Amino acid sequence: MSLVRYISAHFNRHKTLSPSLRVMKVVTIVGIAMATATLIVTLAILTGFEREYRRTILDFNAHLVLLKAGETDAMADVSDLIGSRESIKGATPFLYREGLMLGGGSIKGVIMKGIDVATFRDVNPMRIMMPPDLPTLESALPPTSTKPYVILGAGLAKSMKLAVKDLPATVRFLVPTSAVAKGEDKFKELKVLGIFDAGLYDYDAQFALMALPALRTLFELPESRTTGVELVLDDPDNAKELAKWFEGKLGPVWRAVPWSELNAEIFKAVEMEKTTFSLIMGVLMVVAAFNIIGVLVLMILMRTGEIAILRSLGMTQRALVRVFTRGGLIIGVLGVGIGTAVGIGLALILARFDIVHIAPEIYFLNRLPIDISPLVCGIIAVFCIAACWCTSWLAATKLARLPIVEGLNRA
Amino acid sequence: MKSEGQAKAKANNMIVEAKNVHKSYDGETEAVEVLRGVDFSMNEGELVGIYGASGTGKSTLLHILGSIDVPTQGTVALFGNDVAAMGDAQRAGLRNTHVGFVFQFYHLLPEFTALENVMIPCMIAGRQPKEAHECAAEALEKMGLSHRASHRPAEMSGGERQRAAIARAAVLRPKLILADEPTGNLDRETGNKVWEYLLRLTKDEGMAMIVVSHNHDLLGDVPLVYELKDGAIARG
Repeated sequence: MSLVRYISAHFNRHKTLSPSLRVMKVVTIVGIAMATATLIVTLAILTGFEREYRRTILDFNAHLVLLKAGETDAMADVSDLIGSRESIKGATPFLYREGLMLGGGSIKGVIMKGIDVATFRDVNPMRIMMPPDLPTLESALPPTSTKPYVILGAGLAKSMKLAVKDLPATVRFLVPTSAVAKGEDKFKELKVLGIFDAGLYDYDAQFALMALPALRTLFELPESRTTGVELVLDDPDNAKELAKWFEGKLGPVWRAVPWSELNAEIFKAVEMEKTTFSLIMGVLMVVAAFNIIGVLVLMILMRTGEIAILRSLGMTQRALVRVFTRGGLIIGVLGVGIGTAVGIGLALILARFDIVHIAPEIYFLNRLPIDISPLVCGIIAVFCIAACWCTSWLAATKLARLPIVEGLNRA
Repeated sequence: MKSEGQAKAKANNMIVEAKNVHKSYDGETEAVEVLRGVDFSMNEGELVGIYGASGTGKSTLLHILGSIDVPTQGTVALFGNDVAAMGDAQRAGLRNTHVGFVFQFYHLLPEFTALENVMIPCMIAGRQPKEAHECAAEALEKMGLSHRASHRPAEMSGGERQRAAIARAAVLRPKLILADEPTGNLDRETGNKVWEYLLRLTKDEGMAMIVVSHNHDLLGDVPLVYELKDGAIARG
């Protein structure tokens, strides 16, 4: 056992401390534990949000979207290029149109997404609920049919006051004036045959799916009209690199948009929240760690005599600083250890039980997402312990410099 | 490479040399000068007594000679090393291996046993706990305190505490023992016993010793006695 450990073990033994110092020590450990736990829970929630947004966005939007100016037959132009890249696991054309939907006494702006039913499931795994007599997507939206069958987002269906048990049902759709011939009825009736749940309120409240031929017919568009092609990759993180490759191959008429750019605002907002909360909680942690200074000041002032005796025996200031820094560090490690356990426990409880209800209209999600990352917990623990070490070292360095004679007189 | 001072000190066997040492403290209205130009030196193995009334600065001089206090003016050389020129670690190292302190109020660490108190200088010197334990046990045995090794200071008598403090001061066989009123807190009989222990130890081990006391009778056995009066030192 080294000298520092030997002396520190005696000086920091709980039963050798005065009652007031014991109370201060416990309060400090609790403070550090609370700050650590808060930091872990906060980051678990924010990382959960990030993960859920990413998962939902990737489920609904695919990993890479190829958009062609003029909306001509996009799929025909890129099918060879898509076939040449093994990293592309699926591709499907799509078409976007906007209109107003009326039903259940309300009127909502809707984005109609025309999908190629045959290839849609290669790209989009989201949950679609349909009546029992329509077991597959193909049975609800026949791939070549031009009939106005539609699948609504869960939020949109709720606005139309529709549930799966009510299906099939009819809603009215107002096609923009420019899209219909003069004198024709602008209101079309759509038959709702399913409800999808993308998991992100923004999508569920705004989007409806139709088969591509049916949407083209509804908007009186030519047969080959598509907005672009959605691609799914074996690794979504390669989307940016592949986007550059496509843009290089396809020229300026095309734009390749990776998933991260499609929803850049959401990710920026989450990232900003994460940074801000990390900073605030980090400061909270440092403030909690500063309590160690109080404990060490009291501990050192109560031991000025012993410090002076040790120095007269030849112990260096440096060794004494290490003795008291070690004492502070023990408090910090205890606090951080307890805080990490409590934080992970709380996060697990929040993940397991639906205790906190969040408004999907605001957060886009209907359940508090939790993601406990061992790496993040490790980083937090290391940061918190480092903060405790720094404050302990600062206090010990300042206080261990008391003159020896002054200390001997107090001994 | 040895400095000129070290070489000279070795040649003369001089272990402590103080020149023109002044020490003053800030008083409420003006500075109080305790030491006024003290010159002092001693050689290896010598026994020196410093006598003086209370408050004349005997302890202050002893602290300065032992490098735990600094003079306001003047120089102190310990074993040929200018104390003012040394860093904290060097001074601490010198105190640990070459100087042993015996204080009036023992100054044992209250939470440590007698054995642990004596082990500390050995551990500061870098010895392993097992080796430190052996050295400390031997030092306590010499002081007749083996049976008190596992007792804390609060469980020991004044005489036993002071003998434990002497064992601690001598455990590393330093060249110099600085004893500040070593019997000042003990009754006459116990004080005499402790004094005998101290004298026998320094004689057996060939250690030099400076004893500071207000009790002139105690210094009867000391061959060289100085008197500290009005901040100046003179042969007593």
